[in-house]
Amino acid sequence: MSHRLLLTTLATGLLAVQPPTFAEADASQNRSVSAMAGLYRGDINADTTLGNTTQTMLRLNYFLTTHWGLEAGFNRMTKAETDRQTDNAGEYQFTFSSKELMLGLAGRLQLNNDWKVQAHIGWLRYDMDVELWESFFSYKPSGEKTTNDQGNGYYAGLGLQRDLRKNVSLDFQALHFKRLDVLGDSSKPFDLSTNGASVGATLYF
Amino acid sequence: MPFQLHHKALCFSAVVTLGSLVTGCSDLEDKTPTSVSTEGTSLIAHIDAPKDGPTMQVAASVYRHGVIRPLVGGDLFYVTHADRSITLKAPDDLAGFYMGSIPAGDIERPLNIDIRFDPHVARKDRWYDSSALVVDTQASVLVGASGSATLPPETLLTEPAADTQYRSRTDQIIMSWQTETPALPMRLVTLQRCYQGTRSKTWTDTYRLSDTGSFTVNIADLIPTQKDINRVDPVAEAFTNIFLTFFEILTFGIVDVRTDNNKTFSIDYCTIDLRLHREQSGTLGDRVKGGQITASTSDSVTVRYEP
Repeated sequence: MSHRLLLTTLATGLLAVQPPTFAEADASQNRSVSAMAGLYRGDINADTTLGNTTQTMLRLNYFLTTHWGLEAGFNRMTKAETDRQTDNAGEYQFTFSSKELMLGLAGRLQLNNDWKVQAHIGWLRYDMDVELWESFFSYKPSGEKTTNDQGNGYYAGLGLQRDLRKNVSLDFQALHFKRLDVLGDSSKPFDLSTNGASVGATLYF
Repeated sequence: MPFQLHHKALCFSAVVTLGSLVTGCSDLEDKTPTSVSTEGTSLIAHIDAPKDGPTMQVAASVYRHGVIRPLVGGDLFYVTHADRSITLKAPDDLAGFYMGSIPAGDIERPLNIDIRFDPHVARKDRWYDSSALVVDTQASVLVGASGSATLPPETLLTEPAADTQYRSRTDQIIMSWQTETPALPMRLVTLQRCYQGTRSKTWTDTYRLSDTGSFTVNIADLIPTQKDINRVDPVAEAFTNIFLTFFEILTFGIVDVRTDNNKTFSIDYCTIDLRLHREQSGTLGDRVKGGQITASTSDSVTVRYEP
């Protein structure tokens, strides 16, 4: 899924650009803030499936050289729901929502005067609300229970930037997020991934 | 899936009431077992130890005010025998019929079955650890229902030999077994699978017997041409043994038994599974108003009818 999205995003971008001349990135564009939002498909390494979710992200980049820089960001994953499952005890469904701190590295390459390709990779710290809904086939009252879990993970992404003005760009990115060992203190921890594409804007300052 | 919710029963309870007469039951009735009380909690449980089997099979269902009830939200059947303990599961979540296998141990020690409230064990097969997150529920009024039974002496069939072939509907299957003292009620459960080319039908019959050491059953009765049959197919192979063992309990409300006949079914051949049970009643706990608990030992043989 993530590979397909990455290729699609790249191909769309590359079709829109002229043959690359690899112009030098503007040296003055060394600090930026990006705001992005996108649709993501959830994945969980357990005997259930996770539905789609949306993610919004705010990211600061500081380029130390023309091509390499550091980044820090905040990502928010809105409610991602598992399938509703049943067993002898009842019906149940999980909903996950998460606030995440991102720290990582960014690389960029100027393709021509208007387009750049960017890559991102880094560590994330998640603060996740895990909500369980259970129903008991009307023989007992249904209800919800929520717990909070923190843990680590990583993210990676690849995207294109289209310069709209000297200090404003339009961003297209395919991103993969992985939160490791959710409910890590339990006997059955699991990893929760999201793969998808975001669009947004970057302001250089 | 062979298990569906139906309130159909063979004339099991009526036969129990009548005693150990040799009786063939095939009339379906839309009712729950008469031993089930219309007030309070009733428990029906059966434990069977097949001859030379490594495990004993257990089936159970619980009723509240005469209506079968599923166990949900942390309620579950526990079976204990010697130092072993298992929980029972329902193949169909809401059917209310539970079964399981427990390793065969010291047959002289009683098997106990009871309904307990254990939210985490009830959810232990889920993909997440319920100890991390669980919606709180209360134990239902069914919790505390219990019963206990001890296995009767071993059942040992001596006739017919396995794979004996019968060629005519006028043939008789002569069954013999080793008797025991004191005599206990016996039950014969048959499962007939007949084939016509690629078509097949599976049906069943039950007979209550006395421990006389022999019983003769006619092929014509097992494989009738005009009389109605109690079709139970499709029976998933994985359930066949349990199905045979617990047929009567299954038909109290679980398996889709339907009436059919063989008037237009030209049989190429049939296999007939004969399973003989020796049964001993157990005792129900104080919180149980009706039902029954029975333990049995059983032996089986498969013969063939090929006209």
